[in-house]
Amino acid sequence: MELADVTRWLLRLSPYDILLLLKGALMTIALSVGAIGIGSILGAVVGWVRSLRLVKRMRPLWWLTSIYVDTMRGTPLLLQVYFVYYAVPVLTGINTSVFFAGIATLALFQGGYVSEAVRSGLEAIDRTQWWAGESLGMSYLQTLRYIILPQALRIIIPPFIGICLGVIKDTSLVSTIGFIELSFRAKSIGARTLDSMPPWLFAAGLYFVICYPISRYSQRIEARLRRKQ
Amino acid sequence: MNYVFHFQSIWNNKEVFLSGTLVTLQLAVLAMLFGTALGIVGAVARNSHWRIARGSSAAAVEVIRNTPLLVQLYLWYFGLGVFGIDVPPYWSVVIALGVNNGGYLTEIIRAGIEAIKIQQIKAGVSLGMSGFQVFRYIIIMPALGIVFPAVGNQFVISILMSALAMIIGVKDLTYQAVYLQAHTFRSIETYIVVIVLYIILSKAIVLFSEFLDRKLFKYKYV
Repeated sequence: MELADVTRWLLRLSPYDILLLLKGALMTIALSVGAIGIGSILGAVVGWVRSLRLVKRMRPLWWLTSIYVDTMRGTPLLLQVYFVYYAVPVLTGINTSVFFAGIATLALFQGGYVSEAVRSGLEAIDRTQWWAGESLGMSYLQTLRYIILPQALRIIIPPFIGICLGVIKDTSLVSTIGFIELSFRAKSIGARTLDSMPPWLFAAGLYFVICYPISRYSQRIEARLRRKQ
Repeated sequence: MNYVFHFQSIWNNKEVFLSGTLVTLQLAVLAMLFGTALGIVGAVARNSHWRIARGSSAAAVEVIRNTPLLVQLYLWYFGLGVFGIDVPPYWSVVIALGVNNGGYLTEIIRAGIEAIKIQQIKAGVSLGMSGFQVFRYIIIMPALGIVFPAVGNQFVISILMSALAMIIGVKDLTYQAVYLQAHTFRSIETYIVVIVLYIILSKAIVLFSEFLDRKLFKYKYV
């Protein structure tokens, strides 16, 4: 068989199925953007709170945030998805939709990882930088904005992009609770046509198309930041 | 929130949790061993003079790192069947996880190898070491020593990633959690126990890799 024949054989999908997969890819992108947006804000706040000396002295708050971060980073995302979708309604009596559960879980997951990146970034900045801001008569926010963040972001951004990339790939896990995105489409097409390879290969290609530019971009940013130092 | 906790039904099923934990641990360890071997091969190929080896290693790493593990798992599970190779779900999970780990470990180990200075290799050759000895004592082991914390981190990720095994029906810890919550209707309790078990597992792995680090690379702590 020629290579072209092999490709054709592997990708024997009807145009309708291809359309479904593309729609799924759009849903994956929308889900990723939503989860990354909410999760990054959450993570930035939690990471900032955890970097404060005051909080480290206030044991209960420190423990509370530690439980959150350690649970997010120490358990599989799949389990978190099941927990939010199946167990939280039992506990609270609020019925969550698949859509809400999917975005909430991914955002919480992203928040847990981002908070550690933000915290380590902020803690890497020497305390004397804060004192310098203070002695110049800057307010807390001014010091943060003009002195600390420009230095800290340089440390935070490379792992942050890595985390986002991980979350985009991990959106495939919410298909297990019935969130209709790329992986769900691939699985249902495979089940309908009794031919699982083509949709999964196509889905893999779409995921690659989404993720590869971001990973190249992060490599470039890392190289640029390394050169600056 | 007037939920009443009943941990009795969890305790009655303790052996289910135990078997799930063992399967999870097995999967992660096997995937890690397989992945480290692949990672060493990939990293060496990445630095070889042979262009095809260099290119294929880089391409494989990019594909592995830029597609979800779930997709890779399904591709291995169904794909091997297409070629007439009948693998049980357990082993297709090991292969998928191992290859995935291999992709990440290639990059990690490559960073270690690139940190080895050429003078070190020359020193080894001038001491009369054979090619394999140079490779083993001067390139791979010190390279692993440099990047060992990242390798340990990958081990933890491997524990977390092994939860995907349940999707194709391997009875790991997550599978048992979903099974038990359906059987006992005590979903909160089940999930709390499993979450705690996973956290213990990942903390244990962190401690274990630190221990291994001190054991294997004593020279770092002198």
